[in-house]
Amino acid sequence: MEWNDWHARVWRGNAAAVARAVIPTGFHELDRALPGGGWPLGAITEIFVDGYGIGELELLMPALAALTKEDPAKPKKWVAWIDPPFVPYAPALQQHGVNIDRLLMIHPPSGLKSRLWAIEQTVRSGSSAGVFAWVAAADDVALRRLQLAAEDQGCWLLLFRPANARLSRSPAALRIVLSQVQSHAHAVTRVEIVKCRGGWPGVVDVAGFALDAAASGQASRQ
Amino acid sequence: MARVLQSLDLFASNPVEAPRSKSQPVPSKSQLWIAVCLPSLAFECLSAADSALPAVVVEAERGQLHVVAASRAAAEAGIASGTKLHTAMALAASLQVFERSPPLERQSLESLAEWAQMLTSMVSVEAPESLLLEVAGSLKLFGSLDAIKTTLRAELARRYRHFRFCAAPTATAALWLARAASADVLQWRLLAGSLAALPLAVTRWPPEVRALLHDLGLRTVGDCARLPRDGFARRVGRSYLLELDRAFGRCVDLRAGFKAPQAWSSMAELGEESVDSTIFLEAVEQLLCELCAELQRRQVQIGGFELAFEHLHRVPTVESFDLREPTFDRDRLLHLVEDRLERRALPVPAVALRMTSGVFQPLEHRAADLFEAKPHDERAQALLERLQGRFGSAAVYGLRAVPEHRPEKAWAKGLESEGRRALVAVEARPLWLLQKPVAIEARQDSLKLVSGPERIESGWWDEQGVARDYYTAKNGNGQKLWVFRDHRTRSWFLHGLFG
Repeated sequence: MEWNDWHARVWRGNAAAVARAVIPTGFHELDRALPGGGWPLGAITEIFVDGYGIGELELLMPALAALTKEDPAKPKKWVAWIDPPFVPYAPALQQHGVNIDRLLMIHPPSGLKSRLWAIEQTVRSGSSAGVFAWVAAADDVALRRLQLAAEDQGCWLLLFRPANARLSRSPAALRIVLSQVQSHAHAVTRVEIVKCRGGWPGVVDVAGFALDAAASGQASRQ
Repeated sequence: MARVLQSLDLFASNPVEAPRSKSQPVPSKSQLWIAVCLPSLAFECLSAADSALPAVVVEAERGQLHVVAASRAAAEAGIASGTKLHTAMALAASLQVFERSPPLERQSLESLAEWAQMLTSMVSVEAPESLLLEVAGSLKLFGSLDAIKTTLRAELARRYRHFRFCAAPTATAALWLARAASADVLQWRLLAGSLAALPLAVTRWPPEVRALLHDLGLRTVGDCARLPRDGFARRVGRSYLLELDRAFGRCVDLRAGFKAPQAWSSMAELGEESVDSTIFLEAVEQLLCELCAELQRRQVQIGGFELAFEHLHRVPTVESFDLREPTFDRDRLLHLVEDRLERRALPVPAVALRMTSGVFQPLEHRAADLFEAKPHDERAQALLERLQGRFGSAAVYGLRAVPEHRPEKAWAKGLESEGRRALVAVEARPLWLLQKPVAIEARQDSLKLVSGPERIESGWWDEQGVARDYYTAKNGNGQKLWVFRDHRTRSWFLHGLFG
C-alpha cells in the first residue's frame, strides 16, 4: 500500500478541533497559534496573570467588540464581568469599539461559593454570550461544572486566575499565561499557551497594542 | 354611549312621559340577562351552614331581632324568614343563633361574581343576594343558553344549597322573575305578560310603598303598569315608575359592571412553628400555584409580590420581591423566592406564610418563537432579576458613558443607556479605572512617563473641580499606568491601569 493512502487514512485529532466554534482574537499571530483560529466558545479559557495593567484586557477587546455588536437578527445577550478587580472604564471600552450596553457587572459577596454560583447561573441562563470572571481558587470539580455549563450554552467563559494556579488540574480548553516582555524597545504582551485542546503549547508575542496607543491618539489629533 | 346618556337625561328630566311607544322598547333587543338569586345567602355564607342542627341568622329591625335565613332543620320546625327571634326560639328547642354578617355575604357573592366572569364579561353584583349576568354575547361561545345554564347550575349547586336563576331580556325583569322563581322569558312579546303576573313583593320596594299600593287595591306588577303614568308618579314616586319602565324594557337599564379585585392574597398555614426553608418552600410553591392559576384565569401578570412570614406574638417579617419585567411564570417566581430564602435566615420561627401579589397588569401578547422556549430578552431580564434578588440590586449593574471631562465622572452605573452619545475622549483611556485615585510617590527610577501630559481642568462650577495633568507611565513590573499630577497639591496619583 502506498504511503499516501496511509496518510489519508490516519485520523488526525486537530480536524475535530477545527470544527469547534471560535471567535477570532483579532491578532493574527495569536489566531494562527490557536486551533480554529480564535478563542474557543463553549469552553473555559483560563488566563493566568499576576498584576494588572499588562494588556490583559486589551488582548480580549477585539473579540469582546465583536461579541457585543448590536445585531437585530440575534437576541440580546450579556457579557457578564464577575467581580472585576477595578472599575472597567466605560469610555475606554467604547474606544475599543465595545458596546457597553451589553456589559453586566456582577459583584457577589465575598466567598468562593457565591462567586461560583454567580458564574454558573450567568452561564446557564443562556442569556450570556460571554462571562469574564476573576477567580483565585477553584477546584477541579467546580471547574468541571462550569466547563459543562459553558459547553451547554456555547458561552465564552474566561477565568482570570493568579499565575500559581496554573499548576492545578483543570478541564479548561485553553490555558494561557500572560506576561510583559521588552522587545526592540517596545513592550509586548507575551502569550504562553500552556494547554490547548486540539492544538499545541507555544509562545506568541502579541504586539499591536504597544504603549504607543496614546501616542498614536495624539498623532491622529494633530 | 352618547345616545344612551342623552336618553337617560331625557327620562330624568321628565320620566312621566312614556319614553317610547310600547311596541319599540329602548334597550337593544340583543340583551339577555340571567339573574341569580341566593335566598339563604345570609345563612349559607357562614361556616356553620352545613350543620344539621336548627340554626338561624338574625338581623335587628326596628329594635327587634328577626330571622333572615334559617337552616333546613329550622325551616322544618316552622321558622321562616321574617319570624321574630322569640317565636323562633319557642319553635325550635336547641336553636343556634348567628348574627348576620354583610361582609361575608358580599365576599361570597364577589367570589361567585369572579367565577361568573368566565361566562360573560358583564357581571353585576346586586346586593345583598343577587347577581346579574348579561349572556347574549356568550351564546355563540357556549352554543346555547342551556349550556350556560348547565354550567351555572353545576357551580351554584357546588357552592350553595338554595339558589334560583332566571333569564329575561331586561336586568330588572330577570331579577324580579328570579325572585318569584318563574320560568325563563326569552321573547320580548312574552315579557309584559310574565311580569304582569308577578306579586309586588318581588320588587323589594319599601314596605310603606307596598302598603300604599296594597291599599289602592294593587296586588301585582301588572296592576301598577296599568295605572296612568302621571298619577302613579305623583302618588307613589317617580323612581318606582322608572323601575317599572326598566323592567318592561321601556328605558335603558344601566348596571355597574363587577370588577374583580386587582390584586391577590392568600395564606398558607404551616403545621407548626418552623424556620426550615424547605417547609417554607413547599408552602410557597403551593401559594404560587394558586397565584399563577389566578393569573392565568384572569389573563394578567404581576410586577412583584410580597411574602409575609407570620410569627406568634410578633410583627410579621415581610420580604418583597420586585420583578424587572412583569410575569406570570411560576418557575421564575419560585426561583426568586428560593434564592432569597437560601440567603436569608428568619430570626424567629414562622407559623404561616401570606403572599400578596402586586397590582395585576394586562398581559402583553407576544408571538412565541418556534424554536425558543422563551424570548431571549425575557431570559436576559430573568437572569438580571435573579442575580439582583440574591446579591442585592447594587451588586449587579451595567455601565454607562457620561459626556464629562473629569475621568471619574465619565462613567456611571446604570442599565439603560441614555439616548445621547457620550463624548469619546481623543486620548487613550485605560480599561481599568481605580475607584479613587491613589497617591503615589513618583520617582524617576520607579516610574517612567511614556506619553502626556493631557491636561484636564474642569468642574469648577460644582465644587468638585479638577486640574490635573495626566500621563501614561510604566513601572518596573511592566505595568502600564495612568497617573496624574494635581495642579494644586503638586502631588502624584495613580488613577488607572491599561489592562
